Amino acid sequence: MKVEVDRSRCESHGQCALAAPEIFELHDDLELEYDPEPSEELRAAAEEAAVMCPMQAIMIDGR
Amino acid sequence: VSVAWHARGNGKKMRRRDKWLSEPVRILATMWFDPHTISFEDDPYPVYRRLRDEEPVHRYGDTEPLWVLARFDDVSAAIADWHTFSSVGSTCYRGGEIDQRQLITTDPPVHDALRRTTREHFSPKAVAALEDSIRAETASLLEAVRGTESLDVAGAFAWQLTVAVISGLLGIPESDQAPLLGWYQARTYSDDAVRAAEGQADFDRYFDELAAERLARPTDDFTGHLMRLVEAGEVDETDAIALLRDVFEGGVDVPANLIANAVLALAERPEQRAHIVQAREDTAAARLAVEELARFETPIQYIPRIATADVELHGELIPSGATVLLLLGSANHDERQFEEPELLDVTRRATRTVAFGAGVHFCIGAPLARLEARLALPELLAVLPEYDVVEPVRRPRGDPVMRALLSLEVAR
Repeated sequence: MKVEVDRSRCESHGQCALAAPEIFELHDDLELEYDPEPSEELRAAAEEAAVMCPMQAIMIDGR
Repeated sequence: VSVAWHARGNGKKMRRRDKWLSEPVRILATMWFDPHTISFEDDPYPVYRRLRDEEPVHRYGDTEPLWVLARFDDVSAAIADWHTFSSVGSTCYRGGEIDQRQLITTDPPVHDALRRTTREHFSPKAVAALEDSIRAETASLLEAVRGTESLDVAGAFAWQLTVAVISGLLGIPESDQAPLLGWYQARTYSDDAVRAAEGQADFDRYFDELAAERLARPTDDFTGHLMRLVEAGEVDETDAIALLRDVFEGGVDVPANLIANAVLALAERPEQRAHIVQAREDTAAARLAVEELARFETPIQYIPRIATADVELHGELIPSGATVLLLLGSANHDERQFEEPELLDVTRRATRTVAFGAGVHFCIGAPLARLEARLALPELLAVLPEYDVVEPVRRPRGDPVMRALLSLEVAR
C-alpha cells in the first residue's frame, strides 16, 4: 500500500497519528513523519487516518 | 469601534433563534429526568447513558422528526462521513443566518475555501507562536487576584484569558473586549429573550463595523487578513464577517468552558491537580491531561447534521433530509470506548475522543483551545493548591449545547 501526504495541505493537527500510530507520527516540533509504504494489514487504519484528516491531505494508493 | 453601540438599539434583522436545536434536547431531557432531583444542564450524563444503552438511535418528535446518535462509534462514523451527514442546511444551529456560508453550514468544496483562510492564524504551528503571550496574559490575570480569599475562576480568569487571546488574534482593541464579551454572553446564554436579542444585535453590529474599518485600513491580524481576501474578491464579505463572528465565538467560549469545567471537575481530586501542576515541566503529560478534561466535560455537547440519504442504524431508519444530532458529550462517555468513562483520570490516554469533532469539520480552534488550557491550567492550579467550590454552581439555562460556566466561585 502506498501512503502519501500532501505537505501543502497538512496543518499538523495529528489526527492521523491518533487513527494510525503505526504509520503516522507527529513530532513535538509539529513535523509529521510517516511510512510511505506500510504493510497491507494496516489498510483499515490508513483509511481511517485519511478520513479523519481535517485537511483531507492523505492519499492512499494515489486516491 | 466604540462601546457606545450598545445604546443604539438594533436595526438588523433578527436571527432565527426560534429554530435553536436546544429545545428538543431539553424536552428529551425532561421526559427522562425527575425534575425534583437535578436538571439536565447540571448533569446530562445519566440521560446520555440511557440513550446509549436503550436507544442509541433516538427519534424525537413526530412532525419534524429529529434523530439523536449517542454512541461513540456511531457519532465518530457520522462525523467522518460528511457526504451522508452533511452540514449544509443545518443553519438552524445557534442562530446562523440562512444567507451566510459558515464553516458549520457548508461542506467541501465551499467549506475548504473558507477554512483555508484560517490557516495562517489558527493552524497548530501558527498558534504555537502565541505561547509567550498566553503565558504573559495568564500571569497578569493571576497577579491581579494574588492574596484574595476567593476567586471567580470562570468569570475573572478563564473568560478573561480567552477573550484577550482571541481578541489579540482578531485585532480587537482592549477597550472593546469587555463590552463585546458581555454582548456575546447575553446573546448566547441569557434566558431573557430581550437581553439576548439586544446582545445579538450589538454583537453582530460590532463585527460589521470592525470588518468595515479593516476593509478601509487592513492590519496584520486575522481580521485584516480576511478583509484583504475580500478586497481581492477571493472571499465574500458576508461570509467573511460570519467567519469572524464564529471564530470569536469558538475562540472565546470553548477554551473558557474547558478551563472552568476543569477546575470544577478537579475540585475533589487533589492528586490529579498536583499531577497537572507538575506537568508545567512535562508538555506531553499536560497535553494528555487536557485531552482527558475535554473528554470528561466536552465544551460543545452536540453538533447537527442533515442526512443526505436514508440511513439504517441499529434497526432504525433515519430518513433522508432528517436532522441528526451527534451527541459528542455522550460519545465521549461511552463505556464501549472508554474504561470507566465517568471517572476523570488526567493520566488516561484519552487521545481518541470526539471533543473537537473529526474529519473535514475538525474544530479549527482546537489547537488554540488545547494550548490555552495546557498553559493556563497548571499555572492556575499552582496558585490554588487547595480550594473549595462555593455552592451553588449555576450553569446557564439558555442553551445546553455548551457545557458552560460563566462564573465559578472558589474559596482558598
